[in-house]
Amino acid sequence: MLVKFKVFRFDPSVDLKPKYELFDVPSEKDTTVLDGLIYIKENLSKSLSFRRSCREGVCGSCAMRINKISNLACKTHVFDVMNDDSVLIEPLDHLQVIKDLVVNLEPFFDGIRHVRPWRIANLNEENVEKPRKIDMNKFLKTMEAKSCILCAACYSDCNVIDVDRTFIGPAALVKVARFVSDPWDSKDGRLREAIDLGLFKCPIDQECEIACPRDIDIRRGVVEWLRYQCTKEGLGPLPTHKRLVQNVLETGGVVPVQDTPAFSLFPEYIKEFEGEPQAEVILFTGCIINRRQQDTCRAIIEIFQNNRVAVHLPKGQTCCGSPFMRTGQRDTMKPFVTQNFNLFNEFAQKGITHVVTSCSGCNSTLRFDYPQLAKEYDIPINFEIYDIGEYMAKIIDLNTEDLKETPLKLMYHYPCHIKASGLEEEIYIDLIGKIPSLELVDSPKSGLCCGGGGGVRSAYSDLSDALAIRRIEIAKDFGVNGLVTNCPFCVISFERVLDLKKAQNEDMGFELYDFYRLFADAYK
Amino acid sequence: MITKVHDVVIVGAGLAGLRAAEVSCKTVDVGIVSKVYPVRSHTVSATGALHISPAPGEDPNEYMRETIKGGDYLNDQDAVEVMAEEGFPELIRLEDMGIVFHRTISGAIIRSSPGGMTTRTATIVSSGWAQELVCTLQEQLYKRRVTFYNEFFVTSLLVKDGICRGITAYDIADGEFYVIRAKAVIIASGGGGRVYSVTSNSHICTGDGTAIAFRAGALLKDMEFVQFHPTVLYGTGILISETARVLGGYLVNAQGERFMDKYAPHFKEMAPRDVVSQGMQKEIDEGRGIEGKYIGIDLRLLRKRFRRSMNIPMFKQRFDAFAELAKNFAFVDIDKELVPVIPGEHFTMGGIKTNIWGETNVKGLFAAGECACTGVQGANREGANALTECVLFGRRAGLKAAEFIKKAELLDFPLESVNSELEKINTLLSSKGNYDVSKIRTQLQDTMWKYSSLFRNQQGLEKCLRIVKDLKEKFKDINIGDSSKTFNTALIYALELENLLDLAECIVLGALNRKEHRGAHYREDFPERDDENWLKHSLFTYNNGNTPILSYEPVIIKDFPPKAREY
Repeated sequence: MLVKFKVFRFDPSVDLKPKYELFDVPSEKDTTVLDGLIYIKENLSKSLSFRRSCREGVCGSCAMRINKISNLACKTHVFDVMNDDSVLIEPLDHLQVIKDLVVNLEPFFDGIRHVRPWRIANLNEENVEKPRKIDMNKFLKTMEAKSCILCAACYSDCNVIDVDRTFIGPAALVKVARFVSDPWDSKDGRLREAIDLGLFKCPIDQECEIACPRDIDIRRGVVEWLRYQCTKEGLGPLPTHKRLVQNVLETGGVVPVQDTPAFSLFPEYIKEFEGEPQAEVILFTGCIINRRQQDTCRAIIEIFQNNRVAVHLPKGQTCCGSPFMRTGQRDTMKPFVTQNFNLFNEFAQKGITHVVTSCSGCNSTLRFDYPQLAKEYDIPINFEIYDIGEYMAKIIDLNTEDLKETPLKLMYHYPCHIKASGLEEEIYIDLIGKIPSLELVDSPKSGLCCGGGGGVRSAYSDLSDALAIRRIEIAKDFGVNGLVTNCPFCVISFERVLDLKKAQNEDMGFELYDFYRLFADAYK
Repeated sequence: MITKVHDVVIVGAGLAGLRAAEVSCKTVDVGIVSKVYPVRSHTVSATGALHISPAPGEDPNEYMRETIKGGDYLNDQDAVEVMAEEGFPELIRLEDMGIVFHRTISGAIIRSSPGGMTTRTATIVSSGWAQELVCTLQEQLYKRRVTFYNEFFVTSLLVKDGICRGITAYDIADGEFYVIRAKAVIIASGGGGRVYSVTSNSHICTGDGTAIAFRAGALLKDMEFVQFHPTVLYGTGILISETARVLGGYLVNAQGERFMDKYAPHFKEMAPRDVVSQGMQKEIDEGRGIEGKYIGIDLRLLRKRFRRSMNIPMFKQRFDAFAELAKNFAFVDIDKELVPVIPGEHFTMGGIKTNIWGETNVKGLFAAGECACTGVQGANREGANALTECVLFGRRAGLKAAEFIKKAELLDFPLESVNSELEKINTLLSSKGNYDVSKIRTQLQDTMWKYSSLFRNQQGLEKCLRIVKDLKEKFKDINIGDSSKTFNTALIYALELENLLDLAECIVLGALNRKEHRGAHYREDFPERDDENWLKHSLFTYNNGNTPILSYEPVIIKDFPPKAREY
């Protein structure tokens, strides 16, 4: 079949501005985007410039943005990415275009050079006569980091670089991890340097991971791992992140209490409907909803009541510790894991095994970090953890009959923690789509960072605000009334910049909708 | 035009070029010129296996005997000695730089034997891709003061009175023309696999350095010897590494028969690549290919067989790599299905004639790696010997060039050559001819595959030579279709095609004249090895664009005289 390639064209020595050119490319199941470009070059436009070399995904030459997401053209099959028989091809972002799909890679390689990508320990002086014996498992991290092919796809899709060019970028941090993890190197100043180059600026939004053609675990395996190494070396976390732990230990939550906490507003067991519940859940609210977003908590309870789900709201739950995992304070996690999982296990003994979380950050932490930690602390896991949206969509029979018309035009903001939990965007889009007369506009797949994750909000608030504003502006271009999202961090970040702008008399004319409040209101 | 000066200029930034730079930049000023960024070089596609032979206390003779037998006794044995002597210290040097080789649970380096060998001397880098070698060496150069000329296309060598004085290069990004003067030039530009339509080589493997050295008066050697790897994916030519067979993967034809018994009763799939490839092609030619077209490699039981070894990182990594390639590029699941493979061009044994120090017949000109022919690979390269050749002879060329420039002077360069290069570029940019670069290239590749690949004969080769000559004529009348000076890849493809055509002509000419079957060169009309007449190297001399002049020189034979070759 013929697929339309919409290709970015720009020769700065001739053209005043870039343009897009359309080409019909005959494609079959095994046609890659690179095959398509070669076809264009040979048959339709000899002047098209792009880089290519190995055509098997190891050399990194043909990294480009394919439908707005950076990837290797040689590894991407046309049929896998086309939208309505067309594919949009653009050069990598954040690097100056030389011509068409070719960008100037020097700033990217400068970043790699900058982190001193060579062993600082001088092994030559040891003068070994036989190869050193070593347990290969000590090299696993180094090996993973070594699989980076320096294609710059991550650099192109990095949200932070978009608003802060001083950030060194994901690939350079992977390089730092390669040497910090190398048992034959000395760490000598590397971590200090990484902090200066922006290690703590990453909001762990994982768009770099999606771009990475080598599937490197950049968020957990590199960024969070390096931050943890910083803590172990006494270089981290940043003072503001340290205070977060202090907050929890002193007050029971990461954020200060605003108004009456939800735990005081609502009883420990809520069942306001007649008859048998279709399910019974333990609601894990997370600090923000308990302490700052009580309306959201109310909305969640209402949603469950409308769906005949009985809710336990145990007051014995505590902070999940997500901000500490994100900022390298893994060693502070034990009390949180113990308290929360023991609590859930107690419920499990009573036959209540469904834990639902309302905060996506809590969800990914309880789901991915806790099991590992629980294993270390020898805590059993006799329950299942769900995100509320996931629970609504997949576990219960959702009451859609009572949903009222809500005439709004919105865009769903897919939180990075939901992504990290392995939950697909479609789950939430379908759910919101069930609200009558609500129009949901497809979100672009990149530039989706609220700036609130990874400890960035507390450490670099300007950066965080810039990211949130950027996300809103991307959405505004689609002519929507607002964003709807189901992460309290995203809600805070967006509401904060909207308020800030209002205070500066620059009303963005845009609203932020909390997924739960939107849904609960639709039941009214 | 911009002029630059270095002590040593290296053309090509793959493994051999980087290795030469790493060793020479410690004492002299080095510039390294490459048409791509170093990490985009073709070396990165290799599995990352290299021979380390022998360890102290081991007998080097077995490795040498098997390499020479694998090369069908065309190997220059002084060069093979270098490989046997210097591998082990090099391994330690590489590990010091930052490369790590796979270990067993007890921490010892894993060594295995590739096709045609029984000595366990092949090691593999920990990331499972030679990318690790290139990346690490590039980083070593970052540490030192080496000037990179990335994305510069070298158009010619400046040679006058038999002495090399530098290079001319075209900056792809902005079209600026450079003269880079140097006391010594090392060519390390890789092979020319893209002469053929079916090849495991990257798009960039167009033998540029070999061709420019040839046109500058360097002798080429053994060009007719081209290796066809048994297992490249049917359709794309992407390599399924020999490790697949080392670990027990085997080949089957349409009848499900493990046919290699017929061709190599002893070694079967683990015979040298020429033997396996020729066996596979015979099966296909005689109608026993799957769907008439390809052979299946069966990897289905491998994971099961190695389940107890999965705690050794190498095994999981290898299987994952095969699985990923097969899934991405052939849409098959290696645990459930056969992987469709055919033999495809993989390696050029021939190249710029050098001695064991990388010196060519042109003073001040050195060569190393796949573009060079030290004679080490003979008529068929053994697995894992390519990367070893790159590091060892790259290092030797670097050392020798650094030593050479101490006694050499920076000589004036022939301005008329520079002008003619400039004119060539400008002519191409404004070309308005009748023929299309990609069409000529495709026709060249198809023709070479048809007549000058695994099985060759007089008639076919004669026809092939005629077509190549005809294409060379057509090349003079091309239209590249892009006159921009900004990242003009159409121009680069045209320059590459010129190089491919020159190499193709040498390959066909050598094959046409060599009337025997030796290693990878198989003449259907002369199917036996003929030591009496053909135990000699072919040499090619440039002849102003006319048919190259062919001559011969004896093979350097030391401890291993030719014997019957059975597997």
